[in-house]
Amino acid sequence: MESSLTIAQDPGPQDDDQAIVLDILGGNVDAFELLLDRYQDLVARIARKHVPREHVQEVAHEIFIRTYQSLGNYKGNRPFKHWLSKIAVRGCYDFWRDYYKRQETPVGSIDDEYWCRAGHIWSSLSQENGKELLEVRDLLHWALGHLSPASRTVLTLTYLEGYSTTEAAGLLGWSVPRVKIQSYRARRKLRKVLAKTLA
Amino acid sequence: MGSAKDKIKKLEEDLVKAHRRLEAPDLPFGWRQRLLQEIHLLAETDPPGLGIVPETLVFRNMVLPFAAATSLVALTIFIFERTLTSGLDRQLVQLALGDFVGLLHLLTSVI
Repeated sequence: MESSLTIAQDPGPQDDDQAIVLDILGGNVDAFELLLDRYQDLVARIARKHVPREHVQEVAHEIFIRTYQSLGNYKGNRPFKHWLSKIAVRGCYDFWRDYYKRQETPVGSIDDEYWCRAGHIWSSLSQENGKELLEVRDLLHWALGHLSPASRTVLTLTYLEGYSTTEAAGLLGWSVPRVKIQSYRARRKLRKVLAKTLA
Repeated sequence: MGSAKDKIKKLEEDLVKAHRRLEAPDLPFGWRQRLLQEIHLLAETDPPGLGIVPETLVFRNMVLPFAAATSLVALTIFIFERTLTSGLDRQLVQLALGDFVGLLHLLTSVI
């Protein structure tokens, strides 16, 4: 499966990034704008792949704040883009953790209206001419809502985005076996959820 | 229509396709301004630290391994020297050769 977001392969202006980071750490806060120019699209793209559209701005904002606060930890021994991607993915994961905590009922709780909706979308998908992209996205969002934040994030990276287990582990800061197990369980759960829409 | 398994597989493919067609929204100018304002505020109140300070890094990467290696060498020399001066080396050789008298002698000397 081809990854829709490539990381760490594009060397980018790495040395330049490090110079900017040092400049910011030296007290020139305005230099942060340069990082923003370079990477705001990347962060928006990552956020959009993990969180609903209406939360992208909020998540991207939080990611850049974290990035600024963590600049002192950037070693410069790997591309800034990769380092930032890791913060971004982690930020999206934390968004879901907070989001699930804020909900009075779990995001993936079984809801008759939703089940009917899922059934309707499925029947339209079954007929080749009835595919509505937005509805499929709704269905995906709804189905992912049945997963825990960790499962959701891992599944998005490995299955939907096509990252390898090693890449996903690197982005999440987890071990490869943990990603493999979580990904396997999440995929199984997703299938179960989708299977129920067929009933 | 195929089996339920085929249907789910097809549905999964559609979900992946839909996901990959997601387009990132443009972050508006107002968002950028708010972010930069907050960054400037943070710079005044809580500037980013340097992470691990160089002294800690030097201690962790150089002093600790050097101290550990030196201690190991010193311990080896000490044990070797003690073995030679007490004649334990000869006793150990006797022991290795199956000299039970020597072993007995060694045991009694230890006791």
